[in-house]
Amino acid sequence: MENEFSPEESLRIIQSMIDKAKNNAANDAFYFLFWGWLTLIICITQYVLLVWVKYPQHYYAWSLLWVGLIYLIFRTALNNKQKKQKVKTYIDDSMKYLWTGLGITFFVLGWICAINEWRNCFSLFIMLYGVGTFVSGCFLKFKPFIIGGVLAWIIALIAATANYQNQLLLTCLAIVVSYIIPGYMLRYSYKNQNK
Amino acid sequence: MFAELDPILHSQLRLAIISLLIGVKEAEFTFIKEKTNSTAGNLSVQIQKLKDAGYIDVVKEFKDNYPNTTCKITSKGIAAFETYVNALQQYLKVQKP
Repeated sequence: MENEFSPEESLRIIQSMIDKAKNNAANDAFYFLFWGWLTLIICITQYVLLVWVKYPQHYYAWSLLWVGLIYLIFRTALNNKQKKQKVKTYIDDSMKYLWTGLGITFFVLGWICAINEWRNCFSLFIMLYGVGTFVSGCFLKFKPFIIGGVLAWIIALIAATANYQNQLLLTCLAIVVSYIIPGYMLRYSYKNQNK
Repeated sequence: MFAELDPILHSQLRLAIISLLIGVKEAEFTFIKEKTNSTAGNLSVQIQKLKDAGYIDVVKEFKDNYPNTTCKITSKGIAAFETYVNALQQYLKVQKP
């Protein structure tokens, strides 16, 4: 009995299962939105401390990154304990390696800039945001991230000619166009797919 | 002349399992059960048949004191799936007016 099904039915099963196995885009959207909002809040806080409050240690705002990192470690540990991850995809792996590499690069670059000077650091950070979102967009086959990555590279070029305060504002702009807007679009498209 | 459809894959549930595994690195038993809407008993039988044919690797282990089965498609399974899809395409080409 079970072998009596048509080639069309076979193709329908194959298509339906391949669709069901697609990457968990909602999870990816969470990370983009989490880091996007966190870095945006940090940049705005630093800008306010620097320009309006005129606090000399305005860069202390970046210590909020540690709060984000600790939260994510706890979240991952909790997910593992609750056995939430029932499937592993190659895209999950690629994203993990890409963002681990970039995360380490951000910290190393931050350290290098702290030792030397911060003049062009924001351009370099924005450029790296561009790499991350562009490559992620290619992995996920999601155009808004690819466009966001290209825009981040353009903003990085502009930031190279701007002063420190304006570099902070340009970083905010880069985060909005390369993380936050595409992140919400990814979440929205995932919700629509699963209606 | 048509290529014969692989009888191991030409079964609704086994084809669903292989189609699911072709797109992922590995998947747990509960994930496959949820996505294929199958019963645990039937799924276990079909997984065993795919394993016996060498199309999938099955790892059984304990996770937090609960048994956990993970399935992963093998290179033999990928080749069989590709052959099956090619044969399907041949059938469909002929059926078109």
